[in-house]
Amino acid sequence: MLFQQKINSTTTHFQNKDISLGFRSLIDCVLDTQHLPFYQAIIALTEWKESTAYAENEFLDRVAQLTSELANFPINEPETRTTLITTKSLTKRYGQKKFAIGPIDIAIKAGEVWGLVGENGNGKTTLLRILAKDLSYNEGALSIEFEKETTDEYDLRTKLTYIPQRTPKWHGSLKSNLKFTAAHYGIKGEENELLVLMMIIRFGLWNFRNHQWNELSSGYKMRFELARTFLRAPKILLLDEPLANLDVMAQQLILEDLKSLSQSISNPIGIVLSSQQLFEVEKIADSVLFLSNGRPTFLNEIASEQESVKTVIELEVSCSREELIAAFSEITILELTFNGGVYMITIEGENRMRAIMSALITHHIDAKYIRDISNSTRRLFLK
Amino acid sequence: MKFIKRFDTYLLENYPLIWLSKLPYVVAGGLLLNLVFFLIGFGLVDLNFLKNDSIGYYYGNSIVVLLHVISAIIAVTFWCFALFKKNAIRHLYPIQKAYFSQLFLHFFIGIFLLMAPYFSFQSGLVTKANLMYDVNEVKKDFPIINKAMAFLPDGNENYSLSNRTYPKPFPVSYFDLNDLTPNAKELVFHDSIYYPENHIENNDTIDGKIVQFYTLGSKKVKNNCDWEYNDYIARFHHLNKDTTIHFQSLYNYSAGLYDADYFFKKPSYDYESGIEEVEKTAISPIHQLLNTRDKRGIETAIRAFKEILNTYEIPYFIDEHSLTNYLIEHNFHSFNFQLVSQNAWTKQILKNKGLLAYHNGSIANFISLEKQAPFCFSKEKLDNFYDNLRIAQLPLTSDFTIYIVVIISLIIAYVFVLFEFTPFIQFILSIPIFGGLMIVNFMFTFLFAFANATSSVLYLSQYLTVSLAILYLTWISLHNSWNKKFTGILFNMGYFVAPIIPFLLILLLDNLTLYEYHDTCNNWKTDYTIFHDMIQNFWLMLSLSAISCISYFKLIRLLYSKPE
Repeated sequence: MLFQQKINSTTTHFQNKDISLGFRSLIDCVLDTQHLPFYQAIIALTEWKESTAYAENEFLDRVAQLTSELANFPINEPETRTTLITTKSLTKRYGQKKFAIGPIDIAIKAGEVWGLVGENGNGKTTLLRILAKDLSYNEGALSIEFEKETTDEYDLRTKLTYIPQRTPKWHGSLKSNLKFTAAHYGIKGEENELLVLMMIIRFGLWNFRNHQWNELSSGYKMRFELARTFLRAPKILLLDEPLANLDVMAQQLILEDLKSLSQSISNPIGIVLSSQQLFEVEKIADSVLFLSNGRPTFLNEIASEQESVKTVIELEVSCSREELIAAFSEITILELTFNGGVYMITIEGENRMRAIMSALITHHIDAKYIRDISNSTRRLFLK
Repeated sequence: MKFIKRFDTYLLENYPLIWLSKLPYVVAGGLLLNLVFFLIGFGLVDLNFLKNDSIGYYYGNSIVVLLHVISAIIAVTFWCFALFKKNAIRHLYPIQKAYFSQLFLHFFIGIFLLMAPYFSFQSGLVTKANLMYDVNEVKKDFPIINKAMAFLPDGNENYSLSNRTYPKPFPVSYFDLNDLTPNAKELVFHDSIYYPENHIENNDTIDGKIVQFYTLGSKKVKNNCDWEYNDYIARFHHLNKDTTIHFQSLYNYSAGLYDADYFFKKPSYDYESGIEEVEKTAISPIHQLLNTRDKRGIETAIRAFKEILNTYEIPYFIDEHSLTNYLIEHNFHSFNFQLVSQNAWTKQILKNKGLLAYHNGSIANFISLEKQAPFCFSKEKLDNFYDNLRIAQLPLTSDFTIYIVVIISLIIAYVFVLFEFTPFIQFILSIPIFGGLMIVNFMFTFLFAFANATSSVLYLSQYLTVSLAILYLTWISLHNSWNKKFTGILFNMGYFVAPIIPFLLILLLDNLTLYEYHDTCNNWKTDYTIFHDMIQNFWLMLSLSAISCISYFKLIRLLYSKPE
């Protein structure tokens, strides 16, 4: 059922001429099948797409044919998504009465994306490393569902993939590194070649497949890391600031890719990523955890924390504070603060964005930036 | 190139460990290097080489060893560049069973092949020597040489008589230094050793008598207690008044230079003189020539010998006619230094242009060589030639050489495995910490040794205790939340001691189980147990050490999965 939805979505993308998005979606469907002839078809299609003979209409015809074949391919879809990692009152302390993280209670399921936000030095990396079993903790419990399937701690850690913010340099060609990874995960022979090429195509690395580390930009290095990680067929993926050093478009692309790949039918993954890009992360994350001085706050707790329903607006205007207050004279403003760049306005009642915009228009005030952050962790940053 | 690329991809896709270790390329490179060194060895050997150099010593005394070292260093450097570029364990990839043992084996094979060109070079030398000369044919020279040598000087420099043996017993008066000899008849006398007359530095004075010979006599005794005391008895000789060196003719001095089985037996080594000695035996054909005063026979024998020298292009000047005349004229008495005195032979030289040419055309040059032999040939070259052919029949290399190469290869391979998983900083820190610990341990042992009698048991047990303590702490550290860097340093120290623990343990057991006692003759004796045999069995000890290392490799997974 889910697979059929993905096929339909892919078809729609192509019908709307969103070719790049549609092609990525098509590759995800093909990866779900784990059927090598489909891999070959995608690789052949990519080779042709990158050649001079490429023509959009013919491409769409070929894609349509492949999509119809995929639609008829039988796929076993898992009925439930299992919980991968559970923590109970997990706490990590650095020295006596010094910095501490926790207590943290989370349960990450397969197919979920978790965002981890907070200012620098508040414990995001530490939490990720604890979840990756790279760092020990002092109190509480960390339970990993697939631990019983592993032979020892090392085996467990091969399934807990953690990508640090600064990824180490690698040597040789991009493709040979991916092949090396796949071979260690038991993907051998022809399957190794095909799956590696599929990942190269999926992460937009086709034209860089023979490049070396120093020939790639930061964005492509991150794409390579993701390709390498997905070859490991991880159950849980822990990413530390994957969006750092990426441009806005690349950030969106990577987040969409992560979301899409986490929803894989053949291998649904639980993803935890830390980032400073709040809105982008909140857009795709199923849960967002805000860490402030090591203490966790969940995004869905923000609203429930409030005594009464409020709307919080972030606003950047060119007028003075007095002019702004005058413009909002008919609105009950509970709080108006200015941090030097933007105003944060707290208003009584829910969804009051329209009232704010109406007041701005009435008083001929040009807004450079306006956003409702009532349910965003952004509020916690601006506190 | 295409084939290599396809082969490389095949390895990468199917055998990532082999691809990582680059074993096929190292084996191919190693074999190529061995082939090159074989060809160098093969190409070096010609008649000149066999006459002037030694198959046994050429490698160590020539540029070949430098060439080998440089090429091996270059190969290892390139290998390391390729080897440490990728690493599965640092990325926490799944690793196959016995991953590190396999890696260790790959490294060992590679390093061994890079060290093996020594054997290949030797093999090249030997193969070429054997191809050039069939020793079964060459040994037909020996009767001819032996027959002629009695009438010839040993070499072209120091005119000595060392190619001759002496009668048993020598017909001169003698005295026994050791009066305790129970019965002279029971003694078995060995060859006498001769100090030439009128050669003061070679004479010896014992009890105011000039001694020119001594004989070693030995006797088998039934009483084990006196075995050492009576086994060898020195019997010294001096010439009596009626005996002159002239009287001791070639009858007594003649001997064979080369045995019939010269090529097929390992020579004994004289540690005092530093030269290999070949047993010399008297030969009857010489006596026959002497008995019959067969001038023509002697000349024929020398001519036949000259043919051999011609065959092997050995420089000589031998005038068999005048030499034979001289010998008969002087009743076959042996050459002595009077014969080769400067005046006597300057005359000979002036008479003979050939001899002059042999000495670079300069009388002064020749005269400067006091005691220069009248008739010369390069005996050294002849000896070298036969010695090289003999070495070519011996096993290519000694057990000791193989042990050394194997041990060095294993050590380097072991270090390579260490670099696969340990962070460089931790490795660097481990060395001074481990060194410091061993020094402290040594100082403690030294202090204890003052209180107790110096005992190897004490030393061994203390080092074994420290080594086991390191292993124990490593184990505890791996299973507890100790600092990971500290655990890493402990782990490296454990890595250093793992291969030597079996040695320490067996040595300690050997020392603990040995039994010392006074035997019936009141001699101090030691009986050993099986541990003593174990220690002396190289391959057994190597296997035990390898088992210890391989067992330790299993802990690397634990180390790597340990959280900080």
